[in-house]
Order: sequence, then C-alpha cells, then structure tokens
Amino acid sequence: MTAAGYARTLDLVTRVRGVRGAMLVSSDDGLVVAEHLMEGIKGSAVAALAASLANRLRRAMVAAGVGASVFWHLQCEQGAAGRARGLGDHRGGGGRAGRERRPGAPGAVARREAV
Amino acid sequence: MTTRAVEAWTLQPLVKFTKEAEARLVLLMTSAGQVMAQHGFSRAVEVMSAAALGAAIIASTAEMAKELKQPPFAALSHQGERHGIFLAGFGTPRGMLVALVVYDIEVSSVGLVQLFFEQFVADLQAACPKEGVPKQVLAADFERELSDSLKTLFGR
Repeated sequence: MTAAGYARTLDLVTRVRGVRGAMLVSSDDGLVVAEHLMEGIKGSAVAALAASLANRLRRAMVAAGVGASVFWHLQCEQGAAGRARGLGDHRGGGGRAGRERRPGAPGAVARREAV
Repeated sequence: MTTRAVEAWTLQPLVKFTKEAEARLVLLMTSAGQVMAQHGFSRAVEVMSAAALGAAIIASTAEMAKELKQPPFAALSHQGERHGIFLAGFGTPRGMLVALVVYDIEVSSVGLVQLFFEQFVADLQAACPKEGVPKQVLAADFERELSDSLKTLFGR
C-alpha cells in the first residue's frame, strides 16, 4: 500500500463517530508510519509507547504458550485505545476513541480498516 | 549497570533517561569528545573509543550539513540485528553536547529512545549551571584531562 493509501485508510477510520485518531506504527522501532490524529495527541509518544507495550505483550503471550497477540483493547478513564497487528509487515494499526464510543469498537475499527 | 559522571549535574538526568529508555550504554560528551558522563561501560578503553568515534561522526555530519547549506542534522540512528545506536547533538548553556545511546532492540526501540531523549535534553538544559565558562582543554593538557575523567568514571 502507498502512503496515500495509508492516509485514506486512516481517514476512513477516524470518520467513525467518537474515534479521535488512528495511526500505523512500525512495531519493531516504534516510529509512526502514517497518522491521522486529533490535535493534542502526541503521535510519536503514543507510537513509541504502544509499540513497546505491544512487543512486551507479544512476548508474554508467546511465553504463556498461546501464540503471538494479534489484537488488544485498553479501556481508559476518558476513552480507549486498541491495537491490531498488521499482516506480514509487522505494522500495527491503533485506534483511539472518546468516551462516547462503546468499548471494543476502536480496536475493531482499527483492525478491520487499518490492516 | 553503573552510571558515573565527571560533571555532577549530568548524573540525575542520565540515570532517569537510561531507566526510561532502557538503554544499554549511554555516553554524554562534548563535541570535542571529552566525556562528561557514562552509563553501562565497563572499560575505560571502550569509553575512549566510543567518545572519539561519536564526536567524529557528529563532526562529519555537521560538515555534510554545511555543504548542503542547512543546519546540523538533529540525530543519527542505526539499527543492527541485536542493537541500535542513536547519536545526537544538542545545545546547552555549557555549549554543544553529544549523546551516544546504544540500546538492545529486544528491550527498547528507536522510538522510545527518541521519545525520552527529548526529555533528557530538557532535563540537562535545566540542570546545567548557568554561570561559569567551561574550561577549554588545550592539546597539551588533553591527555591529563582524559586520564582524570576516566579515573572519575571508573574509579581507578
């Protein structure tokens, strides 16, 4: 997929009501590949920390004998964050949603649209 | 892992940075290669080599930037199979400093190092003594200065 393709996909994700942003992150180095975020969200920080968390979770899941994690969703005080692993290229898509979005949706959105 | 500093004000920001970024080795030096603090190095000879190479790379890329008529490059990053290196220069009231960071890619990432490096620079700029002109090291004194720094860093 081209950079324009990523941008279009992320644009579609963020059009979903309540989603504050979506980004594609290289899970190996924690750098932003493409992002579509609302103002006030520090993309580079989210990317670095989310990739680190995802890698640790992946190792934990492998150690637990259940295979690599493919999707996670974190419910927070003022919203939620979801992360899905890309297919083959080790890139993950993440969605962030506001409080009004029902739990579980941002991750599902990210997985369906950003991968 | 030991963290030691020749200039005491660099110690606390360095300890915080290495913990947050989970860096394996960190070297903080002047652009001339004078070591100010280090984390994780076990031998003086490694520090000397790393400082010389790091300062030389920064000097080379700064010259390349001059050729391109643009400001010096902010940072340089290389990633190998097991380790990555991150090298960056930044300004302080004491002049330009250079940080060389080596991280294990299974434990950290260039994204994490970059993220916490911004805070590291801000912490160093805040901790840096505002008064007092840094002492210029003359070629004649360089070996003695280097020897003193290594004694401080390795306690021998």
